[in-house]
Amino acid sequence: MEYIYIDPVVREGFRRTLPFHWSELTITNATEASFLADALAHGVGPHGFSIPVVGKRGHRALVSISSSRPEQEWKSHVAANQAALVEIANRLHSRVIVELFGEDRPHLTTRELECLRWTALGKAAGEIAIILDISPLTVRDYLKSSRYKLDCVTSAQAVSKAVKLGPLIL
Amino acid sequence: MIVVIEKHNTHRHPKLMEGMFRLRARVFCDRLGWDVQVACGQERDKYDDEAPVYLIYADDEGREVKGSLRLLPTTGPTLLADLFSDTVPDAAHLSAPTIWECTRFCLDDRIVDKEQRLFASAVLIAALGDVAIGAGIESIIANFDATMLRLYRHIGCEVEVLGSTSRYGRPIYLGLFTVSEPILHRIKARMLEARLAAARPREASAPQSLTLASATR
Repeated sequence: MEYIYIDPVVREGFRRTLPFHWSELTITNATEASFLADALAHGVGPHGFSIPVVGKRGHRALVSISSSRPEQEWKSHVAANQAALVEIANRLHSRVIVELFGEDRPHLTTRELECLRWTALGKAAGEIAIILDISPLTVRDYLKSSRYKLDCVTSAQAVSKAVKLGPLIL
Repeated sequence: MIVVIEKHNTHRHPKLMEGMFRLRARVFCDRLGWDVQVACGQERDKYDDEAPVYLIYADDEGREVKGSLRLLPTTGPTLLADLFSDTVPDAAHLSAPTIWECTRFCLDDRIVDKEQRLFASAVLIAALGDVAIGAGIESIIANFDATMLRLYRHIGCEVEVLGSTSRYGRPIYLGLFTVSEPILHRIKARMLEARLAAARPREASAPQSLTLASATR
C-alpha cells in the first residue's frame, strides 16, 4: 500500500520540528483524503498529535498519538500533558535507536555525575543546589539530563544504573 | 508580527528568511565580530540545516525583520555543544526532550532607541515563551554577550549564567533560562511597559537623547 508515501502526517511531520496537531495540516489532494478516510475506518482517531524527534546522531522520527474523544477534551488533555508526551516520544525513539544500532555508552558530564552522587547520598535538588552553589532549577536540569541519557524514569533509578554501568563511583 | 518558521513553511516566507540571514550577518559578523561565516551578505551555519525552528519578529507587512532567533532540541545536534564543549562541558552537554537551545538571538541593528530595543526583545522573548509552553519546553539554554544578558534580566527573564568562552575576544556567556507561566506573564507585563515608554512623545525625550548622543561621542 505504501501508505508512508501518502500519509500527510508523515509528509508534513518530517518537515517540522515542533509538535503539532493534525488539524494544522492541509490536505492537498484526493489520495490523501481517501487515505485519511481509510485510517479512520481502521480505528485511527480523527484527532491526532505528532511529535517530531531527533537523536544526537541526527536520526529523525515522528511519534503520533490519536484519539476519538471530542476535540476540545483531546486538545486540553494534550495541553496539560505536553512535556510528558514529548518525553515519551523521545524515550521511544532512543529505545528504537538502541535496538537498531546498539547501545551508546551514555556520556555523563561532571556536573551530572555530581548531582547523581549527592542524590545517592540522600540530598534533594534544593540541597544539592546549595552544595554546588548553582540554582535548584539548574540542578533539576542536570538530573533531568542524566535521567534522559540513562533512559531512567527517576533519579534513584539513574543513580543505580550509573553505578552499574560504571561512570558513577560511590 | 511574529512568524514561526520551520522546514514545512520556509517556502512561504523567502523574504523573511533572507532578511533574517542578512540581519544575522550584520549583527554577529559586522557588529559583534563573532567567528561566523558570511556569504553574499548572509550568515548561515550547519545548524541551519538541522531543521531548526525560527522565530522572526517583523513589521506587519512582513518586509522588515526586526529580530530573530533559532531553536533546536538538545536531544539532537546543537551548536552550543560544539561551541562550549571545552569551556563549559557540563552545560554544553545537557540533553533532554524538554531542554532546547536558543541561538542567533538578534535585534535589528537599526533600532537604536533603548526603549524600542527593550520592547523588540520583549516581543521576541514573549513569543519564545508561548512557543516553548506550547511545545512542552521547560528550559532554554542560550548564548549571549554581556549587553544581551542585561537586557534579558531587565525584561524579567530568569537566567543562570553557567559559564563563558572568550574564544572570539569579548566573552560570550552560556546561560540556562527557566520557562514558566509566571515568568512569561512578567515578561509580557514588561513588554507593555516598554511599548508605552517607547511610544512616549518624542518632543519630551528628544533633547535628552541629543545630549546623550553627544555625550557618547
